[in-house]
Amino acid sequence: MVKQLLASTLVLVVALTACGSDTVGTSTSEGAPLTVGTGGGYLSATLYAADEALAAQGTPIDLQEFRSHADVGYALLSNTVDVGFVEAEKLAALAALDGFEQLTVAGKVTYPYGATVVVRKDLDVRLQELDGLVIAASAPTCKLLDRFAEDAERLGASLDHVTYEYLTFDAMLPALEAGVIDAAVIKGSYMSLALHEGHTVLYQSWDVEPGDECCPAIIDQAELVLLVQRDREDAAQPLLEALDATQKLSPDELRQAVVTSTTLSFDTLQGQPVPEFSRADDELVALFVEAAEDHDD
Amino acid sequence: MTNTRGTIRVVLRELGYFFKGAALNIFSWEFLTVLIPLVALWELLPQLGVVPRTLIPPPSDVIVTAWDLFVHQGFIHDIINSMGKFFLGLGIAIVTAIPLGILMGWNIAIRKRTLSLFQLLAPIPPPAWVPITIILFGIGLPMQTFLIFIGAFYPILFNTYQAVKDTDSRYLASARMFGASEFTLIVRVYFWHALGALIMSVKTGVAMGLVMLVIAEMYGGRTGIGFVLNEAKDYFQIPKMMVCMITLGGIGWFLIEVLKFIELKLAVWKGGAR
Repeated sequence: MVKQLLASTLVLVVALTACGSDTVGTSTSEGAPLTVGTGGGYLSATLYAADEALAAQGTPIDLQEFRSHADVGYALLSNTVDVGFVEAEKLAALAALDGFEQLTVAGKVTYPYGATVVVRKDLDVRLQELDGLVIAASAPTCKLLDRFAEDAERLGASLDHVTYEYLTFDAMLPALEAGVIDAAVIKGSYMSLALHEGHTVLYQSWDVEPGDECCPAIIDQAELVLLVQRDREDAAQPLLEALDATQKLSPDELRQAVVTSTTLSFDTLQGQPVPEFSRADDELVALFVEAAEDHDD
Repeated sequence: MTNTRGTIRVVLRELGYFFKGAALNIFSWEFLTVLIPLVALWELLPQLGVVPRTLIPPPSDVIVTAWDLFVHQGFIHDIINSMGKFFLGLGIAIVTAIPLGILMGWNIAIRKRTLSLFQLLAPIPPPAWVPITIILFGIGLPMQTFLIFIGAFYPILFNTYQAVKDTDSRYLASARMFGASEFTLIVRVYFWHALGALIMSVKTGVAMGLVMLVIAEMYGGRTGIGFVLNEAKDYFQIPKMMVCMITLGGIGWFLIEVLKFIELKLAVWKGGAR
């Protein structure tokens, strides 16, 4: 009996050690380079440009690319990165988690909203041939879809027999790749990724102002939000200044920074608007939390 | 009619044995002395604020989320969808790896022509196959099935091959003495000698297949446990992630119990080693 209890205790101790939380993380020491987390891609253009500038100044940052911006959120909560960009639409969910209070908003990346229709890479169709296909949109009533439908009608294309699949923007490109849908009405910031995956842009209009349930005006506030560990705010200042300085760069210089740091080609990016960085503060979190609560109601 | 009734009775009796054995494994006194304190600690630590509740939700929160997932969000369809892919991939791995492993273990000429190739390919971590698989199969069921297959294939192949190769030469000599053909040797000696190791290899294949199921469901499609898990991860829904993880663990445990039962029934001489 005693032997059995001892064995159980030993196993418990081992199990608890194995499950031991490391949520406190490895806070970066003062002298170490600033660790910056990003999901990468075209939206990180200003970060890539700032990274190059800081390296040239002799104060390099430790740029950590994650598979998604959501992973950056976990890295921030566990204090394994000092600074990180997370998707604005997920800010409210992140803010609800313990550990968010140790973070502060330092900036945001904005990108024109835009309505873009991308067609699956193996389909060779014109606007007038979309009727009868399966098209993804984010909701039945959405400014992006309305804008596209208006223009399609004006150009003589019928959409009467289109089957709509309502998906999140995140899910549209994988669904397109999987052949589940034939085309998707995406927002502008997803276009470079769609082109990079080989899909074709069939239609595009940057003349869209967000401001309905599916595309709330809040989205216009930011695509990405820059979060900083409160105890690393001072250390993050050179990065913030370098990010501010990217406002003075030409669009081609920003595109070149992306080409240097990613596998995206210059041709893919040419003609697309460029992301812009600007400072922001914690009020942005309140706006997104409020928008999320309104949406839930 | 009597035969049907008899068969039903036997099936029910065997099912009874199976569930009794499985339940005894998980609800054994020894395991409960570990499980109960662990679950109690998991519940108490977040409740008392020792660990953050939103990051490590207690079992009570996970149960509430599980109820919502199963009752309101049709999670059972995701499980069925995932299991369909999983059994397809695992099934293909079993029906290809076992005969191949037996042939490699039985015949030196086949072994010399194939072993190096598989030894070269096997160390490639299954997730590394993802990009090439997408190029070959696109995104969808064939690609997902292939990834599960590749995860399960090598453990089954190598364990089968090794077990067949290690067949006691005295058994072979005895069988040959009685005039057994090579085919008879394969089906009556090699196979049965390797059975224990073979079932063990399928257990490893189940674990690897589940790993690959989650990876496969990250790409393409919008259903399945892996998809729900990844979506929950991306939207910081930690209790939902935990439900998916526990479901995967439960499926793995159940399948291993099934294999143990099969082993007990077929490889009776290994029963004592359970």
